[in-house]
Amino acid sequence: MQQWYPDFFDRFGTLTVFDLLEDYLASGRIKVDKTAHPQRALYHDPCNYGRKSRELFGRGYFDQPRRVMDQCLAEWTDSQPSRGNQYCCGGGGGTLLTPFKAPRIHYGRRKIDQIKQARAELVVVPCHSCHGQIKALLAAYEVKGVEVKYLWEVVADALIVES
Amino acid sequence: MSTPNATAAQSPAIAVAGAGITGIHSALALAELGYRVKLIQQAPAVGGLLTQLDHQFPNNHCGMCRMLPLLDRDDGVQTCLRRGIYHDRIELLTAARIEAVAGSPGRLCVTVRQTAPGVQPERCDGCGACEAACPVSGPDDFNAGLTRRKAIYKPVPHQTVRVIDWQACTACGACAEACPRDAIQLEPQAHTIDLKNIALVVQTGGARLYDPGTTDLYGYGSLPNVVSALAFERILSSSGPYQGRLLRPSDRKAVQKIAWIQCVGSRNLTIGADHCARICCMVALKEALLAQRKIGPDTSATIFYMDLRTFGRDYQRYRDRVEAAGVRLVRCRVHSLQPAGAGDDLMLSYLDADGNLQDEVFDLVVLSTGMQPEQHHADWTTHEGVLVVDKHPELKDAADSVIAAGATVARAVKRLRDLHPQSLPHQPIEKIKEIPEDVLKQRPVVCLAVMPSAAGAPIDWDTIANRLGSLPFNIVMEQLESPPDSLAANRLLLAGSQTPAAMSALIGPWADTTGLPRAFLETVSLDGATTENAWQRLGPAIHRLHQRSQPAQHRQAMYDGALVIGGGPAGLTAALTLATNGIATTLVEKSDRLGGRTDQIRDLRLRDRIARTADAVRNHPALTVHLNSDVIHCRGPAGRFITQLRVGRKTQCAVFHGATILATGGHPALTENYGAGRHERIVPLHELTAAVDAPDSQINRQAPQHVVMIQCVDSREEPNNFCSRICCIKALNTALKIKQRHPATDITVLYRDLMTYGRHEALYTEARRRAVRFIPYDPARKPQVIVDDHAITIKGYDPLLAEPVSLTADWLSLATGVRPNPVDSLDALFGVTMTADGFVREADSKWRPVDTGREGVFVCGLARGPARAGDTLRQADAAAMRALRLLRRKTLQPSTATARLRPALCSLCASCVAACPHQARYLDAENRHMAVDAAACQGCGACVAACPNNATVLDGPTATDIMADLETAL
Amino acid sequence: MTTYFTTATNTSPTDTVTGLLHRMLTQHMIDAVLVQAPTPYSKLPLPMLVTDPEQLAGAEPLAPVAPFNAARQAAAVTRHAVNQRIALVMRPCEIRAWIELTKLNQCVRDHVVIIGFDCLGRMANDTYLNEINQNPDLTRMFYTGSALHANCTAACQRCTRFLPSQADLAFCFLGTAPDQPVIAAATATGRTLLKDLDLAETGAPPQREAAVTDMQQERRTTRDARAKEINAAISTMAGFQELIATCLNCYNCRTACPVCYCKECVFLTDVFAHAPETLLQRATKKGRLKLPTDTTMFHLTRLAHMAHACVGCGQCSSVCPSHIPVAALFQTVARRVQDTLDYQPGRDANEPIPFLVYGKKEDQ
Repeated sequence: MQQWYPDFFDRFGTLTVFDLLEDYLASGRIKVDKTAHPQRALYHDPCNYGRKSRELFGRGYFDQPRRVMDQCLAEWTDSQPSRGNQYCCGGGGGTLLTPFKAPRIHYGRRKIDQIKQARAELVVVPCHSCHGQIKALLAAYEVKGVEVKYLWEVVADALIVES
Repeated sequence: MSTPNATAAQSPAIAVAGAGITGIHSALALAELGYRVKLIQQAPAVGGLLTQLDHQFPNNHCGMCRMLPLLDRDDGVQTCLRRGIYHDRIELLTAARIEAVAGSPGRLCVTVRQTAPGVQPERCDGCGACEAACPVSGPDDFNAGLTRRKAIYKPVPHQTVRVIDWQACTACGACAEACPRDAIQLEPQAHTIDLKNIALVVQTGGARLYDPGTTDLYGYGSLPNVVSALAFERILSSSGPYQGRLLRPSDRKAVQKIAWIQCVGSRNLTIGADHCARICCMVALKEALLAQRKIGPDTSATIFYMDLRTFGRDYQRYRDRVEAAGVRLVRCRVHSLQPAGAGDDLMLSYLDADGNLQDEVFDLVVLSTGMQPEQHHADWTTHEGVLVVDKHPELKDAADSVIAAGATVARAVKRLRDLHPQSLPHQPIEKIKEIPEDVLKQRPVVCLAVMPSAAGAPIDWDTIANRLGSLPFNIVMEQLESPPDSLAANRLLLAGSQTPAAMSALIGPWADTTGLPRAFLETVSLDGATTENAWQRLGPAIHRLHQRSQPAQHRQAMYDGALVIGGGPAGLTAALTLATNGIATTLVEKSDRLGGRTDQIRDLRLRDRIARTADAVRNHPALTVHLNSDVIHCRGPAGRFITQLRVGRKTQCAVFHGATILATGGHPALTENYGAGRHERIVPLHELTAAVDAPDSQINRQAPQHVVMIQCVDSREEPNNFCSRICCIKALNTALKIKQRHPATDITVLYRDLMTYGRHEALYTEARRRAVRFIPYDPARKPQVIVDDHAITIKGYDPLLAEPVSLTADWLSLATGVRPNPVDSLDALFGVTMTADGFVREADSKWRPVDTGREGVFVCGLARGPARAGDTLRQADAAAMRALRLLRRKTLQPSTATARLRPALCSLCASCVAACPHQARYLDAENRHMAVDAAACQGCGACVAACPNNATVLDGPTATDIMADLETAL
Repeated sequence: MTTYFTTATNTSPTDTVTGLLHRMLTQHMIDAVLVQAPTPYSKLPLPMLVTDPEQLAGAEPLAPVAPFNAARQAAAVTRHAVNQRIALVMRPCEIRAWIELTKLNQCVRDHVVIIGFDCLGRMANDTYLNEINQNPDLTRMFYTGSALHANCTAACQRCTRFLPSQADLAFCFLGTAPDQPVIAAATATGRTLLKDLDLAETGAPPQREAAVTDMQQERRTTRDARAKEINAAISTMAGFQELIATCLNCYNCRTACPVCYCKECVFLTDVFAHAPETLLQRATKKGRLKLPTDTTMFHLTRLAHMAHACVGCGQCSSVCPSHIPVAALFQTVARRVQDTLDYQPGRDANEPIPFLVYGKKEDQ
C-alpha cells in the first residue's frame, strides 16, 4: 500500500500485524505465557507474506513471525522446506471461493505430508486463506488431532491477563 | 616443501597464486621454460578440487599426473600430485596467501602471510599418534562432510604429514605429548614472508562447487541420503568414507536406486543464478555409469535434467554409452524431495514423457552441483605486473583450466620478454654431467645417511648395521640432518621417513652440496617401516649404488625451428607467439590467403585482433609464410623433424624443425535436409547470422514475421555424432539481434538440448524474456519442412502440449555445425591419431589438451574439435607454450629414466616399436638399428620388457637392479 | 580355398617332388630353391640352396630326418627381398617357425614360394644314418607304410600339426594312394604355379579327411599322456628342478630353437655376468650356491620369451647332451600358453604377437 499510495500513507503510515505484535511484545505492552500451548506446533509461511511479498516489495516476512512464535511457544518446529521455499497450501488466489475444490485439495497434499512428518498437533498460520485451506485439507485427508490457529490467536491465547 | 636448486638463481622468479589445476599447470609450464616459481597455496595441500575426484570423464580415471613434465624429468619427482609437487625450480608455500604486491614488474615485492603447519615435515614419519590423541573432531570437508576429522589431520589422504587446523585446535597439547618424534610445534603463528625481486605474479582462479546447503527444497542437510555430487564422488572413491563401496550415509545400506537432480544452484533465477554450472551434466553421466558398473545389473540410475549439456567433442558418444548401459535420462526438472514413508528412502515426483505425474522412490539422491563463479579478486590483483587468468569469473572445467594456464603463461612470457629483452626462456640447466674417469675408477664406498626422521623410527639400527657388515661392500653409516661439506664415501644413500617423493626431491640439493654426481645418490623412504622391511628397502639400494656406473645417455642435437600447419586464426596466433619468442617459424597454408574462416567469427574485437595478427605474421622477420603449399612428408624423432614441403605447387623445400603445430581448421557444414536449397530463405545458421550482421541485408530491411531455427541439423547422430558446441550460442545471439531490430518478429527455436553452457545461459534467459519460443524435439521425431508455393511450413511436435505443431516461417535457419577440414593422411604424416569424426585426437582431453600422442606435435583450434573463437586463440597460445618447452635448446639431455639401445645386441625385431605407448621407438634406417626418441621416451620400460635380450635397457632401474631387489626380498 | 592337382606320373614320392622342382627351375618359375640334400661326404641331408636344376639330383626333400630346424637358414636366405624368386621346401614345423620369424622382421615373404608336404615325422640324425645305411629305399618305405614311424622322435609322435599351413603348395601323402600323388595349392601363387606346370586339377582326395583325423587323434593321445606326466612333474618347484637337474647351461637347446631369434642371448650379456660380490652374496645367503647359477632362470626365461611361439619341432631335445626332455617341457607349457592366448604360432602371418598387443580400452 505504501508503495502504491505513497502520498496518502505519508500521513498515516502503515504497519503489518507482525510489526504490531513484535512491537507489543518487545515493549512489554503485552506479556505471554509460553506454557499455554503444550502441543507440538508447526509454523506455515503463507505465499503472500513470504515469496510474493519478497518479489513485489523486496521484503518477505519470514523471521518476524518466527520470533513471535519463539515468544509464545516453548517448543515449535519449522517445516522442511520453509521460508521462501515453503510449500504452498493450495488455497490462495481465491480458490477457496471457486468450485475447484478437488484440484486444490490435490495441490495441498504436500502440506499434509509436512504436517504428518512433523507430527504436528497445532498448525500456526497468519493467513486467512491458508487457515481455511488447511482445515479443509485436514478434513479431506482425514487427519485427526490437529488444530489450526492464526498467529494472533496464538498470541491471544497465550496472553497473561492481569485481573 | 622443496627448495630450489641454487644454480638456477639467475632465472627470473614468478609468483603463482593458487595451486589448483590452473596454478599447478602454470607453475610447471614456467619451470619447464627455465623460470623459477614460487607457488603459493592457501590450502594446506595442492591440487584443489581435483584431489577429491578420482574419476574424470571421458575415460573415467584420474590423470592429474599427466601434467607432470615429460622432458627434463630429473628436474622434479614424478608422483601423484595429491602427494605434493616437487620440482627443482618450484618452491611451494602452503597455508599461505598473498597480502600485498608492491614495486614494479621485474622487481616486485610480494608479501605473503603463511600459517605455521604445526608439524615439522622433516621430523614426522606419519605414525598418526597425534591424530589418535586429539580430542577435537569436526566434519571432514575433503569427504564432503560424510566423515569426521580431528584438528590435526591429513589434508589429503595420500599425504603422510599431518597439519593442524588452528581454527579447530584447542591447544590442549595432547598431540605434542603423543608424538614420538617431537615433530609438533603448537604455535599458530602466522609469519610474513617478503618475496623480493619477483618478476611477475600470476593469479589463478579458484574452483568452488556450489554448496547446496541453502537449497532446502531438496532437503539437503535435513533429509538423510541426499548428497551433493562431490559427496557422491567421495563415496565412489576408494579413499573415501566407505572405501569405494556404494553405501548410503544414513544406514550404510548398499545402494541400488539412485536419482540425480540436475541444475542445483544454477539455472535458477529465484536464487539469482543466471548461469549454467557447466560440468554437472557430464559429471552426472559419469557418476551414473560408474555406479552402474559398481553395483551391477540391479542398479537403477536415473538422471532428471532440463538440457543434457554434452557439448564437448566426444561427449555425445559418452552420453550414448551411458544410455546404452541402461541409465535412464528423464527430461523433467524435479521440484523437491520428500521422505518416502517412515524409512530413509526418498520420494520425488516428475512428469514422464506422456505428461503423467509419477512418484518414484529412491535409495539415494545426488544433487548435481557444479561450478560456482568466483566473485571477487583481491586488491593486489590490480597492481601492475599481476596477471589474472580470468578477468571475469569464468566457469571452467579441467581442460579449460589447463588451456587458460597455457595462455596465461604465454602472456607472462611476453611480459618477461618486454621487461628483459635478452631473457628469452632459458635453456634448462643440465643436471646430468659426465663423471670423470678417475672418479669412476674408485672403489665404491657407500655412505648410508640416516636422517632424523628415520633415526627415531621403530627400526633396530644395530641389526641393520650388522647385516650391512655382512655384505661384501664398503659401507659406512652416519646420522646426518643436512648435506655435509665432506663425505668419506663416493656413493650416498639417504634414508628418511618422508614419502618416497619427498625423499627423491632431496637428491638435487644434496648432490649439489656434496659435489657427488647425481647418479651416485639414492634415497629410500622408511615411511612406516619396521626393521625387517627397512632392510628390504635398504639392501637393494646399497647393491644398486654399488654397481651404479656412468649413465650412458648422450646429449642429442635439436632443431629449434617450428612448423605451423594452417594459416587460420589458430595457426596465425600460434605462429606469431612462437616467432615473438625468438623461434624461426614456418607457416604452411593450403589456400592462397591467410585468415582461414575468420569470416565466421562474429566478435568484431576478435576479428580485428586476428587481422592484426595476420599482418604481424606477414611482416615478422622470424616467420616464413608459404601460401598455396602443403606437406609431402615428415620424418624424424621429436625435436628433429625434417619436413618436405610442396611450395606454391611447383617447388619443394625442406624444413628442419623441433616442433609442429597442427592448426588445419574447420568449416561450417552444409546440409541437404530440412528443405535446404529449395527456398532462398532456408539457410544454414551461419548465413543467417552473417545476414543479421550485415546492415543492408534483406532480413534487416524487412522485418520478418516468423523466424524458425532448427538446431542439431545432421549433428549428434551418425555419421556426425558430436555436438558442434557453437550453434546454440550463435543461434540465440542471432535471435536476440533480430529481436533488437524487429521486436515484433516471432522467433521459434526447435532444439534437442540447448547447449548454452556456463555464462551463456544468460542468453537463454534473455531470449525467453523476449518471448522467443523454444520447442524441444526428439531425434526420433524430427521436424518436417514443407516448401510449396514459396511458403515454408515446419511441422513439429511439442512434447509439453503433447500436440503436433505447424509453423509457418518466412525464414528458416538450420544449425549445421562445423566439420574438420579434411587433410589427406594427416595422421600418417605426423604420427597422430584421429577421432572417429576426423578431428585430431589430443594426448589427454583434460590434462594435455593441446598435445597429441606424439611428442613434438601439438594441435589447436577446430582441427582439435569444435570451439568458439576465444577458446581457439587461447588453445593456440597454449600449444605455442607446449612447443616452446621443446624448442630453444641446442641439445637435449635425456632424463635418467630413458630407454637406451645397445646396438650390437639388437636383432631388429621391432618388438620395442610395437610395445612403446609414446611412439618413442623407431628404426634408424641409416644406421640399421632401432633407436630411441629421447624426447618422447618416458622411461616406462615397456620396450625393455618386450626386448628379450636387453638390447634395450633403462638406466633406472636396470635388470640387475631388479634382480638385486628380488634377491633381498627372497 | 584349396585346389588339388595331380601329376599323373608314376614315380617315388621323392622323385615327384624333385621332378617338380626341376621343372620349376628349368622353366624359370623360380630362381633358387632351398631343399634338403646330402653333401658328397655323408648321407645326412642338409639344407641346400640350389640354382642349377641338374644339381637337384640326389636331393632328399622327404627323407624322414631334419638335422636341425631349417627355418633359420630359410630366414637367412630371405632376410630381405631380393629380385629373385626363391622356393623354400620345409616341414610344417619349419614353415611355422619361419612365419613367426617374419613377424619379428627376421625375414620377408616377398618373392618367396613355400613348398610343404604332409609330415609323417623325422628320426634322430644318428637313427636315420643307421637306417639309411641298411636300407637305401628308406624314404619310399617310410611314406608307403607305417612300420618305420615308431623310429621317429618323441616330439614327432606328439605332433598334431603335421599339415603344412601357410604353404603355397603342398604334397599330400595322407589319404592318397602312393601312385597317385596329389598336390594342394592353398594360395593364388600356388595355383598359378601348378597351372603353369600344366598339372590337372582334381577333386579333394576322399579318404584324406579321415586319414588326417585318425592321425591327429593318435598323436593327441600320445601328446596328452606326456603332458600329464610333465604337468605332474613341474607342479612343484622341486619337481621342476628335478627335471632339469642335469642341465649344463650349454645352451644347445636355445641354439637349436628356430624361434629363439636373438642375435645374442641375454644370458651371454652383462646382465647375467655376475660380479663376484653378487655370487658371494648369494652363496652367503643360502650357505652354498651351484654354479653356473641361473640354470632354472634360463629355462624359465626361455619359456617366458618363446612359449607363445613354440612350434613343437623337438630339436631342443634332439641336441640336449643330458637328454633332458626339453621338447616335452616346452611343448606342454607352450600349449597351455597358446590356448590361453588363443594364439597359434605360424597360423597366420598377420596375427600379431600377443604380448605386443595392448588390450582394447573399454572406455574409449
